[in-house]
Amino acid sequence: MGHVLALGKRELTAYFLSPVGYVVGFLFIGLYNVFFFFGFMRTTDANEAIAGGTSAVMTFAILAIPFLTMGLLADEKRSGTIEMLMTAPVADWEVVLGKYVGSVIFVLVMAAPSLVQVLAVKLYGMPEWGPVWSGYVGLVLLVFFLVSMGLFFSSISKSALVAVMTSFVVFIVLLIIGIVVPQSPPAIEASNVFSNAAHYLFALLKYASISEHYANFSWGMVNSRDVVYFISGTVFFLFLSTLAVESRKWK
Amino acid sequence: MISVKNLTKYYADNLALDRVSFEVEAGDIVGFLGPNGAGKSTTMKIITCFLPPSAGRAKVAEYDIIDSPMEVRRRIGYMPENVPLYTEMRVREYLSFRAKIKDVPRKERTARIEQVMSRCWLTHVQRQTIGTLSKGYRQRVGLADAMVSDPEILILDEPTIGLDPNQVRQVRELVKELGQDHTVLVSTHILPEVEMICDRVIIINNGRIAMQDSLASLRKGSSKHVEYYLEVKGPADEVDRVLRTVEGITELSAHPVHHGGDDVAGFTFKAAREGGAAEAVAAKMVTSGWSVRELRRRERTLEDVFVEVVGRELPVSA
Repeated sequence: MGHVLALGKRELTAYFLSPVGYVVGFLFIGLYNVFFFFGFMRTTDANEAIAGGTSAVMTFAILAIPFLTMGLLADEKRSGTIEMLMTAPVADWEVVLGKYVGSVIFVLVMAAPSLVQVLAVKLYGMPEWGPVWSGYVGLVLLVFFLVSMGLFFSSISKSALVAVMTSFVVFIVLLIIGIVVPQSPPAIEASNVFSNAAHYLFALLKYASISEHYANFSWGMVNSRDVVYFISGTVFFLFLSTLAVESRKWK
Repeated sequence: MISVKNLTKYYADNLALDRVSFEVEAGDIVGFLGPNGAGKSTTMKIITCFLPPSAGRAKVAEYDIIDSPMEVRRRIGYMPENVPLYTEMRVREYLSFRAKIKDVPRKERTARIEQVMSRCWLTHVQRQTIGTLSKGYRQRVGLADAMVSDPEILILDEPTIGLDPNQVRQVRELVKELGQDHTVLVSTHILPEVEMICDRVIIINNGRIAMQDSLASLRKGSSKHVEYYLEVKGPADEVDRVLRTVEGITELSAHPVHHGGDDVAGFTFKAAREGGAAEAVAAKMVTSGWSVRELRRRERTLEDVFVEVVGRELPVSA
């Protein structure tokens, strides 16, 4: 565990020392606060104001995370520092987990100022607390999941540029399939193999969609189904990243 | 300390190492020599557990690199080629991070870091960002990093490449000093460097061990015959005739003289190390009335050996 903490701390401080960390961090904080402010001005409902702020954080997290995770492993490979890491007595999974922890903490630190929004709303209204906290639980789970994916794409890319583009495409696809795929799947006709397959495909796409799972949290529901989606996805991508780091040994 | 047996490595279909075997005894400074692309770095990457071999075994301090990589890594301080570092970190911060992941106990950490910084002349730049340091300083940070956990073995991949002559000398002195209480495997293609700092030399070429020997026995050469160089003030053809009468001389040939008049003749010949052939030549020259300007034994240099075993490719001389 000591290794993971040391690696995580290094990654976290690296964000504060790098221009990417600053630029992305300030843009992120600035943008979600602007969006919250406009929502705040338009609505009289306390919960709607807070939910608007949280969904702004989510939207910009999806845009910011690819930039924050792109270099995690791709840059190490490009600059050769991976050789320094992997010849020290640390295991591959420790490196992956350490980088993951450092990155998640940075994103959460960037998202933390949005709690001020909650305080601001509380000054002027009486929000119902359930949906507020469930919204934040969803946000944290979403960050866990997106960072693990970003880390994975960094682990399989030779350059940060490729990693950031792959992450973007995948994030956006996972976000919009929930909107594109029709709400109700086509009716099953027992005789028709294709419509049967389509039914399962629709169900699968719906299950894979981020927005589908995230929406429940903002309505105040913490379903085990959604929690399992984010946590298992996170574990899955961390595992794949470890395999990708190990894969240097298979060539 | 390091024992490598039949190490073979393929990169895709390219054979990079072909049944490489060698031993490094505890306390030795071994020079790992070879042209670019010969397989030096690959061998080092395998010993340090960064890459696995395609076949063959390697043991470091009795630990197998495949079965117990963590034990192996704990015992090795490695400085890769070109010293990749985190450029945004400060020197001290970086060494402290490295000490942590190398399991230097918390209580000893500060003392160890101070010690390696002073040994690598880094104390005055400890608060500087690595990215702002010159190549020479970065090289020293790499060395300090290799030493920070006080490993028994140091593996240094081209530690003096890209340094100015002054820094080269400093790093060589440091490596030599480290060799007193460490086992060191140092790769280079600078031949005089090996002659200055190493006890033993391993020459690798095209992925194969071309030769390994101690430096002392290399200098002597395998045969008892050594080459001599003679420069005499006298008519070349007559000197040649007289020389041929001396017993025990072989392979006599004329050698161009660069600085001297037309009356100066140069020759090379071979003779037994012991046996007085050189003395006989000197006596003959004097009795014939020619003055000897130079008569010396030409020791085999590492460069001669290198060219012999590696062949056409010319080594880089410093």
